[in-house]
Amino acid sequence: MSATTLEPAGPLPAPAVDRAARRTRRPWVRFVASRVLRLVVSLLVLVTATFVMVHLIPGDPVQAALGEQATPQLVELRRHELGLDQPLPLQYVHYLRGVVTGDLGSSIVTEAPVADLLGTRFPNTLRLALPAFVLVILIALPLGLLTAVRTRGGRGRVTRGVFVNVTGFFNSVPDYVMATVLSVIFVVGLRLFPAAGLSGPSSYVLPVAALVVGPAASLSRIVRVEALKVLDTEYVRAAKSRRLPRRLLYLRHVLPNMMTASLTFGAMILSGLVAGTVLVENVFGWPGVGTVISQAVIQKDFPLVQGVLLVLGAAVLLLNMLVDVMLGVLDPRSRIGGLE
Amino acid sequence: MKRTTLPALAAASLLTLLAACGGGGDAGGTTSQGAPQVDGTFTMNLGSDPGSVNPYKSTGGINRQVYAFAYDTLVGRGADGNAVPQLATSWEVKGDSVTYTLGQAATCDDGQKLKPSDIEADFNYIKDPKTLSPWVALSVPVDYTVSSDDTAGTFTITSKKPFGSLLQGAGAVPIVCPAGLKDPDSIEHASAGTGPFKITNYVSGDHYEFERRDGYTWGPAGASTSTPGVPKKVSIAFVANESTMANQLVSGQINAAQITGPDRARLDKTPGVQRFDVPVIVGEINFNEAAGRLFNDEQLRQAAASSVNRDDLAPVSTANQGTLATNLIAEAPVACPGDETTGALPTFDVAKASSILDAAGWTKGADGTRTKDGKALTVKVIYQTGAPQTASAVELLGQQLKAAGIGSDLVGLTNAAFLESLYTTADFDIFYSAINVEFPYMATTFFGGATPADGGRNSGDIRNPQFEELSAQAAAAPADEACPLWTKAHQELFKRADVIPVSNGDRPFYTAKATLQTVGLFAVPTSIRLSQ
Repeated sequence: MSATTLEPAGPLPAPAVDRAARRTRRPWVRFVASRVLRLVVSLLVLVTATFVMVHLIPGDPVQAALGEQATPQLVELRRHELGLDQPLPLQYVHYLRGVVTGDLGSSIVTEAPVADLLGTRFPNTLRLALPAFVLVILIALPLGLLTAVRTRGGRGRVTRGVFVNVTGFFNSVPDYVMATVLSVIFVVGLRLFPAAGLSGPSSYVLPVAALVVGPAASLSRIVRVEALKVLDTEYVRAAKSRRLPRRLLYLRHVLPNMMTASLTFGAMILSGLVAGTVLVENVFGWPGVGTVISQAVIQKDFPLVQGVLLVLGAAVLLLNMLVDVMLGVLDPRSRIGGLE
Repeated sequence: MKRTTLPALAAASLLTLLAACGGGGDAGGTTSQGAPQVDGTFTMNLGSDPGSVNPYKSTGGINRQVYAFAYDTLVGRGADGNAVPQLATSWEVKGDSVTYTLGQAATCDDGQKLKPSDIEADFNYIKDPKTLSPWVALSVPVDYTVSSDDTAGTFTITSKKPFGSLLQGAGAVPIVCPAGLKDPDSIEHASAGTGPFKITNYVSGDHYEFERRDGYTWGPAGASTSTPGVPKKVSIAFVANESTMANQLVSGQINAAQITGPDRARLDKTPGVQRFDVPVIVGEINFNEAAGRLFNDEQLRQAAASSVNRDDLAPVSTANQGTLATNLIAEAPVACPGDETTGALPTFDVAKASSILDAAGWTKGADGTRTKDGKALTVKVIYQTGAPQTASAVELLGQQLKAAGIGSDLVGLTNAAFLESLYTTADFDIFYSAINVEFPYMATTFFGGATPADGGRNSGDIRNPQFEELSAQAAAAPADEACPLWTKAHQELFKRADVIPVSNGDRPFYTAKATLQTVGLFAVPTSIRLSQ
């Protein structure tokens, strides 16, 4: 009787330890790749959604753009030039091809290339959104932290009451209402600042202020809550017991540990600021994408509407992706989801 | 000093410094006109970017206002509505021809002298079917031939059938210089005209800039750019928000804006801000008389017209700032002034409306809406959203119709959707809007002739033979004899309840440190004067 040996049919699978080791050798690649893939898919959904949404807006943009006295032949000619007489799926394919090649079409009203218009206008929108964001951080972080220190352990009831109520109030005021109120007081009443337009440093003050107030109030509340949690931790108590200077204590031990939630919320705020400039720009006649899109929607100038929505949406998606990556840097625990 | 006060002081200083950097405007205006400002910049806001300012591509309101700065016409319109010299210093009307004699001074903005043959080329251009220019339908709606004599300095237009307004109609066409006619794309956002200003810059969606043409002396009634106060530069910016425009006026950031909404109330009370009226028809009830629609039946139109109380509707539709409309045309100077409605429009009489509907077999239901053979008497009323008083007026109109048992579905639409309803889908029974034109003959295409489906503008599908016959006679009659005929023609529309003019209002220009004049719907560029 011969001994029976079991031999494998092929090469043995690598041991489980090796597979895990391969994954952990390049964790960042998988993490970033997964985020980029999500971004691409989200962009495709965004492009499709904007196309569908805009074409649902009722009305004939060509007739509206050319005016009532335009001859029907001219209206038909323009419709043909814009490809609007083609079936909707074909229009979508042309639009998609254009997006990929950077051709976002031309405005039906002004006939200007949408890409050129956005190239001129979007930086103006960022000129409001980015300084507003920086100011939100510069105001919210120290305000929230300071209030947390003063109200820790049930102390400073008056401070807490004032803080909660004031920030709650400003958080609930929409930015366009704030913009209007600021206009009434500082433009019409006191005549300290220009009413509209981009015309020098003073023209930034009111629009940025309108954008900053609500988000700063909102973020400072988040920062206070996070700071209170961190201030109660053992390592902070240990640092205090070593009699570390306050500045060192807060900057080295408290601030970094409350950044995770604050950063996430801060990214949401920045996304909101970019989109929120739409209404504020209209109040102040700011030459950004906000003033462009409001008119474009009314006129159903859909190449322009699509272009603006695409740019704003892509900016928000990109921001969210960058925040994910930054969170991965700051807090390795958030990378685990990407690995798995 | 405590540490906490330093940041506050720094912030206050920074704010003050920033305020000093920019245009905060003057601290308060005065009611008196200051001394003329020499070589200043006139800034005006309009609601939206017109896009192309090629005069032969569009006759839209904003387009015309912008290119009026760069292009002249053969004749202007005086305060009394009569033609005044502009590019043409004199003219002769003979039968179906008008011969304009051009002044010798007019030059294009590229320095070339304007010749009569250039004008001939323009008129041949706009009537060429390939160019699809709306100017022909608007201004010279008859077939014509043109000729010119550069030596004699004359341009002649002859209509192939009698057209009594040929002098004014042809005289209103903007004249494009040869450089622009040769290359129409070049004047999409630039100019090639003889006007008092020349386009120097355009930022899409933002503004147009113009520069004064020194030596210009051929404006309406001899207006020139050498008059003190004529601006050296003009900036026309596009700001959609009227409240923002009003704030800019109050703060002195701009010189002029056209404000039609609630901000007028505060501007009327602001010292230093002046108002220049632009009378318009604001409210008008137009019926869809197409086959298959309810108001194809004249009796129903009479019933609806009898249920409308214009005395109540007019103040609501103008936010108490207008008057009852008594004429189909309101643009100043009104070509044929006078009351056209009294004795012609059905009077307000709900009992009469009810009896008409009773006789037609429409019985009132439990909810107050009449029915007949199972069909409810509910009409679709469309209007453009934007002005709050329009929505209020349409709501009141719905209530007035309901009093007679006519139900209504009130649908507010954006401009694009509204025009689509008028010119494409024709899915409405009443459209509440206003048709504003300069001359009576321009209105005929809206109240008669071809429907949009057949290439016309008669959205209501009105077939009123008396109106069309009288309009044809009025159009053919000499301008100074046409008014009685136009009045009769309009009254034929009112008698049949084809259209009900409701209210006259205003689309005023407000100015700060500037004055101007308006003709029709537009500010006259050569009338602008800046003051200190």
